Amino acid sequence: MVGLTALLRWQWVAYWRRIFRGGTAARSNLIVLGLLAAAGFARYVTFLRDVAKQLAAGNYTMLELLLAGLLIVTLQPGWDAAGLAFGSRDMALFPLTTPVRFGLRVFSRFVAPAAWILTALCLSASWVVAVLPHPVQAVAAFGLLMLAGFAAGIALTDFSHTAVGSRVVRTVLAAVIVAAAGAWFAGVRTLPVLPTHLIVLAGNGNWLSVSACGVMACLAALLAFRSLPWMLRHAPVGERSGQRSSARAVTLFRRELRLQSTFTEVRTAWVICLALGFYLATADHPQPDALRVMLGLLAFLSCAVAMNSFGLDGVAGLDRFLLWPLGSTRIFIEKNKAFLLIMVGPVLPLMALAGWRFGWREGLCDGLEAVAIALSMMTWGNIVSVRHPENAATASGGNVVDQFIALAAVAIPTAASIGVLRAFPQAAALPLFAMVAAAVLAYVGSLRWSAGYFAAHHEQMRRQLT
Amino acid sequence: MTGELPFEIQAHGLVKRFGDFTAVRDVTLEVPKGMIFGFLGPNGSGKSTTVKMLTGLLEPTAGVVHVGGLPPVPSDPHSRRMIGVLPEGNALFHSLTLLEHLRLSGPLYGLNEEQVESRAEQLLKALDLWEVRDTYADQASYGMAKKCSLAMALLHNPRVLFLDEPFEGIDPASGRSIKDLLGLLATRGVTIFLTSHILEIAQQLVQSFAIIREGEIVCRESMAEAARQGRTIEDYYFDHIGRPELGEWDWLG
Repeated sequence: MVGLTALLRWQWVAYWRRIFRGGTAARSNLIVLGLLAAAGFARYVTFLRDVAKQLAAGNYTMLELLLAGLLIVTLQPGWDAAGLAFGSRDMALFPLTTPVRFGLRVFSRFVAPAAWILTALCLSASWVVAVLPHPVQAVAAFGLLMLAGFAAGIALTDFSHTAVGSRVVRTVLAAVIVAAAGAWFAGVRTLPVLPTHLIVLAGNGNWLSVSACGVMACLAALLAFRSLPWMLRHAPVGERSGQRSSARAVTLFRRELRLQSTFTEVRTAWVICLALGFYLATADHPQPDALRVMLGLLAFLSCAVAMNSFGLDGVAGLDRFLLWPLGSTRIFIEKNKAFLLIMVGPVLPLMALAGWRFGWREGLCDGLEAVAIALSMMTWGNIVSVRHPENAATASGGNVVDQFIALAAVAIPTAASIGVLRAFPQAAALPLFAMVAAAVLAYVGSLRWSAGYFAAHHEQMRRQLT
Repeated sequence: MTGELPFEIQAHGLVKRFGDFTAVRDVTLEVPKGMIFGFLGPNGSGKSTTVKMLTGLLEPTAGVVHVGGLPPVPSDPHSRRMIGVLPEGNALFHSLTLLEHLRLSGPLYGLNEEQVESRAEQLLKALDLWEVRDTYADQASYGMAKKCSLAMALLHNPRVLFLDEPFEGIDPASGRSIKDLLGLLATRGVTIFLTSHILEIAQQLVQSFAIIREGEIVCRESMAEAARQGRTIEDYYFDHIGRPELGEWDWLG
């Protein structure tokens, strides 16, 4: 166990050293994340109070939602290794026993603040769970199920390291999220099919449910313990796999499209679009404002792509752009075209649905809102991308001011669109057209400025990406 | 205008500083058309930094560079089309396969689809990459990535080639093919500037060489002169670079 302690100490040192050596951007990210986490946690506590009130009235709807959300977060594969100095695969060549590898795997998660936040969320949620009629059983079932989720998340991460496993995990997760979100939007407020329902049953005095949670926790822990050696055997470091046919011509635009669509946030936005489409298509009385607010949320999710457009390219990509006979404006246009398609493409069917449910004027206005938001994001995104390029593998963002302006780039068009639609419900199209025209002008200006900056400061960008 | 210049690569008084650290000091080089020029030196001596300045990836702190008569400015498509570069780190995109890199690169240099397909096939076969052409760059071995980057450098038939460690991580058969290919290119008037740690290959390939140590050129010689003196590149290298003392190794073996 001395080996494990030493490894964890180095993991901790390396992780935090990277953060604090990362310069202003990394530290600013931490400040912004801290502020957002604090604000989010305050809102979460309010939500917990509402859940407790509902529970006191005998309504389990919000509790079920809370538990399902927490379980999904603990299950999320991949988030554990983000930013760690050395992951399990990096340690494959060291003479470590399986228990030490497993210990490193589990406890390394707690080096990063994401795990602290998750722990805080779970601990505070246990206060609400304890409001159930049989608090001991409820809290025990809750704890065991979260442990099961945590362990299953580790096993899923390992499984997803193989080519087949990755596809299976992504498909299953997407299906589960779509089904859950769709069911929620469609008005299904109890989720008896999810294992979290066992906590509700346990809270009503059902010991069998507690046992079931215990069995799940044991099985998941066993799976997690066995998954690491399995992964190292089936997907060893440096393995070459995933060959794919490439008959189609590749253009810069397609390359960007492929690259940008690998962002987890972008894929999450697509899943939300699907769920939103399900809601618009099936809800008895869909709310127009729900769509408008969700457009803003989708944009927030895509921020990482717009505001750090060289992040996934890294130094290697930047060098290649510099070596090719390309004007710098073209590089931005290709990146922006791909972003526009990624951002607006999935939203277009929603506009059609909105037109069908709320009338064509509403659909048009929502479409204009989406275009204005996308242009606004690209306008500021191009500027931030050249001023603060960050290797996406290690960091993202910029300084605090840039990040808040980026948030404003999304929030202002969203709020303005909602304001216009509320103030002039019958004549909103014209002001929205004017807003889009202003956004186009701002975008052209930012494109010229960013291209000029890129040509003049590529060396500085190179250093920042390193 | 560019064709009238006696030298394809001209660098005068190149200096590169990173803060207080001077990576390259007063480097002056002239490489005539059709020559294979070797730029040799130990790790961290400034070879790659010099190549980056010659190809426009880094701006010199001081000094002037002309390649084919033009300053190598990234924003100038003419200067970009003239050169082919195998950069340090290979500069490949993770999300593309090896073949897709060529398919993406070719049209940017004005090649049509037919030209790209036929040249890509020829290059990938010569470099023993054809069978693995659909492998993603981030799943390719180091040698495969290096060869793919070399194929990208050659695809548009450049006038001047810059190759940073072209033989590093390359298997013997591919190494032989690359040597033959570079020899052929030189006979057809292509100027080649290469860095290498592998002195045996440099000995067989280059017509002239320079040795850089701690950012300064400490030796410059033609192979004809070396042959006349009965010396090899290795002799010059160890004269100027030396090597660390091994000392005692009681604990080893």
